[in-house]
Amino acid sequence: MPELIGTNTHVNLTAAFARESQTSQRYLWFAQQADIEGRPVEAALFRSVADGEIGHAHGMLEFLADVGDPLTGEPIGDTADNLRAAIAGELDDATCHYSEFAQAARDEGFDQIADWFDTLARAEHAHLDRFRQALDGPG
Amino acid sequence: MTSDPDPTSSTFLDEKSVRDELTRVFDVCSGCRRCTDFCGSFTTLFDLIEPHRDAGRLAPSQQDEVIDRCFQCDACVAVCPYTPDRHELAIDVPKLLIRSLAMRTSVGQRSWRERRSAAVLGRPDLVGRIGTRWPSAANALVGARAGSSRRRLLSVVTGVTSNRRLPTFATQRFSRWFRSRSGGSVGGTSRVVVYSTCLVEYGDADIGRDLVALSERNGVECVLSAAGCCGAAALHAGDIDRFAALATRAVTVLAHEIRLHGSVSVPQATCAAALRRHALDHVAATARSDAEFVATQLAEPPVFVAAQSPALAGRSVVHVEQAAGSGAVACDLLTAAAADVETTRVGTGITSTWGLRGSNDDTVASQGRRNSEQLRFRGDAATGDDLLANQAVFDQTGTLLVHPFQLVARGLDGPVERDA
Repeated sequence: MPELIGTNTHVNLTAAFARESQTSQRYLWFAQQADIEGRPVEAALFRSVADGEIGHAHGMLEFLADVGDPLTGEPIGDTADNLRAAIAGELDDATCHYSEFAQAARDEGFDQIADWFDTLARAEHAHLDRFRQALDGPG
Repeated sequence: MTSDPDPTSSTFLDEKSVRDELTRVFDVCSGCRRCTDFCGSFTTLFDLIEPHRDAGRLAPSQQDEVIDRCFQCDACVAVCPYTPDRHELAIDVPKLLIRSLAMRTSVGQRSWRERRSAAVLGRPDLVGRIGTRWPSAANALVGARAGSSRRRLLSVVTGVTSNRRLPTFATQRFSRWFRSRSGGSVGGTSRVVVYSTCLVEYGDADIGRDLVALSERNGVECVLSAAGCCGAAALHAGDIDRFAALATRAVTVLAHEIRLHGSVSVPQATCAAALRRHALDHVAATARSDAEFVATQLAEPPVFVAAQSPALAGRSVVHVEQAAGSGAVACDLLTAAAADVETTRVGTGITSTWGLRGSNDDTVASQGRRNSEQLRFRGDAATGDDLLANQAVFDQTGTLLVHPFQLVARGLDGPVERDA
């Protein structure tokens, strides 16, 4: 197989992975709404299709793993690499992205959304701590 | 991964076991934070964890701050990615906080004021019987203006808040009105068991009357349940044993009635949630199959919902689901009435008697501020399926949430007033 990195297929796989990931989450949220409305059949349908979309996303990631984490660019594959990639992503979210998003939201008058971004930044810090502990090992 | 053990086990109320479980669950919550905006419990938890980001470093008193702010609306359960049916972490925060409250009660870690308010508010059946026996005198006391000397005296004696409007007592109990009606049979082929609840039986009897009117208008005969108090107030007060006894009786009788008559309606979300979510965990072993059956039946819309009511055709209605899982019935009813329905959990009020404890005044106020920010209704009407929550929302924000049974029964122009 030719080298994937930098090709249109690389770009398409990355876009498809993002789309399948978003779709699975959209369907899980739709399932929760169906629960609220007392529509268990539709809720189960959304959940079952969401599982399928997760499978699709994982399929994309299998290909993308050869060229690096689509989110951080870090190597992924074995658990040690995956922990480092996770740490890189959480660090970005905890220290950079969400604080910028919070500031932008506040500048535009969306205080509640800004608070939500601030909350997420703290949650990602908690994830960062746990991944670092896992990578560093006991002691 | 561990989850709550069997309530009958020796570790269920063991302090170390409970506090270790709180640490485990709070650690997971810290990494998710989906529920941040729902209530003061989560806001408090995340503020306390923030300095060190380690749930294991929370002192017992700090854990108790989180426990004391939960008013059992179950909104978090609906969105939690880690509930027992979704994930091996098997997290159910409201149930864990109920367990924690029961533990603190059993080991004597609750203040005298909390114990007094629990004794009063945990017995709505007894308080209701006394209040409706002498409604004028009782309502002169509970109906006195918030902050008045009468209410402050009542608060000193009972631990009930002096800062909120309290539910008043009906001048005629719902069951007395039901039995005194002439010509109760509508000759229909369908029946519904009306499990009125203490709040309707002794307080807002007009909700029960509207439920009967709605049913009979649609040719559905009402049968009054003899099941008695569900014990929800005892559960929320941390009295697990009393809840178990009341819930055992309630599900046993209710199961028999539903099998006989086919359908059930419970007009208060708190009580329905107690029977649906908690009874199975605590009832006697002999009543477990009845508890399972009742829980299943409560998820079904009562038979009168299937019939049309033209009162709200084309009107837009926002229904605020006050206890997770209870909104489906209201949604079905309003949709059958041809309303354009939107269901939301934003702005959920305080469903249980928790909000009437004087020790919770500050948190009630902060929840009110949260409701004021979140409640934005457009449309013709807004409904809520719990009397106490609707009253809390009205007191805090001025927005009137009408019970869906009342809205469908009376239409948009019908008055919705308290019975006393």
